[in-house]
Amino acid sequence: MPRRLPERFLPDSILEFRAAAQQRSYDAIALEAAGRRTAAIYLWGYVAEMTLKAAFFHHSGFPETQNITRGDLQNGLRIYVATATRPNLHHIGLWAQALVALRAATPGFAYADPTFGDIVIAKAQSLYGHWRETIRYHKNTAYTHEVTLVRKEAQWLLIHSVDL
Amino acid sequence: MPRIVSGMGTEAPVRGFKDLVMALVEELKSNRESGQPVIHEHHFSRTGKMKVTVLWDRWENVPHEERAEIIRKAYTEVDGADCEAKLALLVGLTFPEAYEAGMLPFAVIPLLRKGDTVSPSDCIEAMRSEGATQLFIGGKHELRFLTEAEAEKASQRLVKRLPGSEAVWTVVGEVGRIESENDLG
Repeated sequence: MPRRLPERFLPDSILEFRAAAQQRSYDAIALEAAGRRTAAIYLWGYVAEMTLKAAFFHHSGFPETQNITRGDLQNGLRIYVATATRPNLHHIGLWAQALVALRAATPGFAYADPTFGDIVIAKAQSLYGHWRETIRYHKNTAYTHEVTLVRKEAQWLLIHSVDL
Repeated sequence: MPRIVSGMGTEAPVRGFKDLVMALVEELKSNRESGQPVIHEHHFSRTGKMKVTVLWDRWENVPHEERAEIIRKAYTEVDGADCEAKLALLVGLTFPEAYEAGMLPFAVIPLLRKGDTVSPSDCIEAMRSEGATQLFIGGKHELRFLTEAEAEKASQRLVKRLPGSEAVWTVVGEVGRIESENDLG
């Protein structure tokens, strides 16, 4: 008997985040084309989140298939972002800050053009202004301009994932 | 035909936000003890790079990409062009955005009782001078801080601004958000 879907999941890793980000982007495009704007935004948010997390752990020195644990995620934000409370692990803006901070704090890793880091943070923060992981619990329909903005920012991060 | 050259990472124009650059320059020069904007600087010792976070309600209608450019321009004007290479991470957030990011867990609130010699409007005026935001939903004045020490200092300044209000100001902190296992992914 074939294994069920959850049983076929691989552990969270850079490789899995990158592959899943690509898959969810296809899903988001299909949802937007079908007029399901809120659901499209929901998935675009995860595309951005997984893209940023993959870049962060890549520059942290994780091998592509190494399991990324909840503790790794919490430590990543705790070390590189000044939050006093336990950080929200889905905050896309914080992951962008953590990524740029990690690169700035590591000799030889800073972006050659520092304004590229500004753009990464701006894209992530702008997207997070229209996204929460709790979207799934709400009945609201997103405006067309909201899904356009979120798609634009998430696609930018995805397209530039190798540069992040 | 004209040759029009542009590229990612080239200097972006600060369209219509020159007043914000000027205001930030003034703030950096004056180094006031309280009020908005609040500027946090973090220096990365191994690289000499710097992170600057500017909390300011005036960011409200400013696109995020412009915010970083405004901060960059203000710093280079105050500290000289040499500092530009150090500015690795520039973040401009409104107070509600910073709160959402978990950066402002402490608040100073007025708890007025019968017989207090100060009025609610006195308290609001003092909070405004101290840098309170009105951008949270509901428009109520809120005075928020990253650390308890910052909040305690603000409370002491409020007493100086408003004599007789010693018993009014209270520092409150929030416990961390609890995430379920389902929220991990």
